[in-house]
Amino acid sequence: MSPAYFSALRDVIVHGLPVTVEVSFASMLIAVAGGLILGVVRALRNPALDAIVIAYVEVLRGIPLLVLMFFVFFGLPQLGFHFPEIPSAIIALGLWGAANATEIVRGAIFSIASGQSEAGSALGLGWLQVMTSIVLPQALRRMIPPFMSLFVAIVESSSLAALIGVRDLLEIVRIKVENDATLWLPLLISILFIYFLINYPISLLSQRLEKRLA
Amino acid sequence: MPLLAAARLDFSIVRESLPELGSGALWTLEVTATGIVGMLLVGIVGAAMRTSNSAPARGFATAFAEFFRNTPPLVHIFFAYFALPVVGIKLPAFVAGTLALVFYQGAIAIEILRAGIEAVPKGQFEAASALGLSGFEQFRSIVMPQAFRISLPALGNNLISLLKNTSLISAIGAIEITGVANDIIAIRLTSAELYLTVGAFYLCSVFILSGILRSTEARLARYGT
Repeated sequence: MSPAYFSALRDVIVHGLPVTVEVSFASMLIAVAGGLILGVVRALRNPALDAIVIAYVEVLRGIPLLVLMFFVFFGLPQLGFHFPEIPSAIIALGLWGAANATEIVRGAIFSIASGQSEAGSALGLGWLQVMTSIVLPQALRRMIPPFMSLFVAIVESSSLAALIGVRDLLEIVRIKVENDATLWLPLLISILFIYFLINYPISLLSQRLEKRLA
Repeated sequence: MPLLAAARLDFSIVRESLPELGSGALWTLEVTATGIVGMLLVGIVGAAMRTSNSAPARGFATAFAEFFRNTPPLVHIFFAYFALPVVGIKLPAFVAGTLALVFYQGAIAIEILRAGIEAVPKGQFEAASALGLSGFEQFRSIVMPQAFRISLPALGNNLISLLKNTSLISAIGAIEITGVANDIIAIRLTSAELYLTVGAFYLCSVFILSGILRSTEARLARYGT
């Protein structure tokens, strides 16, 4: 391995990795918060609200994340909304994650037997109390494995941010190979392993939890 | 504000670029169709290895599936197009991109089909060997058809994910529909209309594909589960 490789790898890790982590982590927060809110809204069974949430989920899950990210970064300024690279990536990834999280939360809430909420109402609890103290605590456990799979998808998809100029792992690699194309091979292998080291433990934990819950 | 914003859109650029967008759309569908075949091939062979009695085959299939599904498809695409030439393998953008997607979605398909195979009742395997079928015959005519039916909903999601992920190959210059839009935008410097149009194309394609998948599921459900 050449010294050029090591100095490039150092920059990839020192400058790229924190950006990948930042974009991924911020998007996960938006995804979880958005998914919990919209998933609970779905549990209200209000036809008008349902229609809005379903439309949001179907559209965001029906278009490629890359097209959404390009639209946020290149298209929105034309409509008067300007966001820099990193916020654009987080907005796109967060909105996309929230759509997927909504389905997870909704599925988990509806998987809790209706007898549970009936028993809650019979105890004289209001809808909100039934939701927060009876349904959600049980549903949360079932959400954990699919949420972890979503986190893996978010970390993987954070690489798309490189295509709008965010200096994440992949983008720093792209900058480093400009002077030396032979670096493509070792640097791409290196970041593949970095992504794997982040994602594999999450995947493993998700599989374990899923087995235990089953 | 949204109304004011919408007034700034001018869709005439979409009408003018219709031939290019149409050819891009065909490429997207072609890559998706090729990818589906490749993904199923990788998935079936990988799942067979993953559930076989041979430890090396199991180990290889497990490592393959875990590595590819836990790393970004966009990086696989860059690897196939930019890193492979370093070791003397030069592939055109469409081929490199499709191959990379087949590996990523194939790795996910291996896990889906493995779960499907494990869900096939034990008695089916025993009955198959009692009939004197060879290992391959058992897999092909008894286990796989049932595992496939069990796996179909998850496989369907993977197909839809593949269709959307074909947009990633625009990053290496393949001119499927997202790439076409990017090229037009680079010249015309107006993007919102084109990305909305391309988004609508994917949305329609996803709806049609999931409709086909649902009717296939319903048709196969006749054979029981």
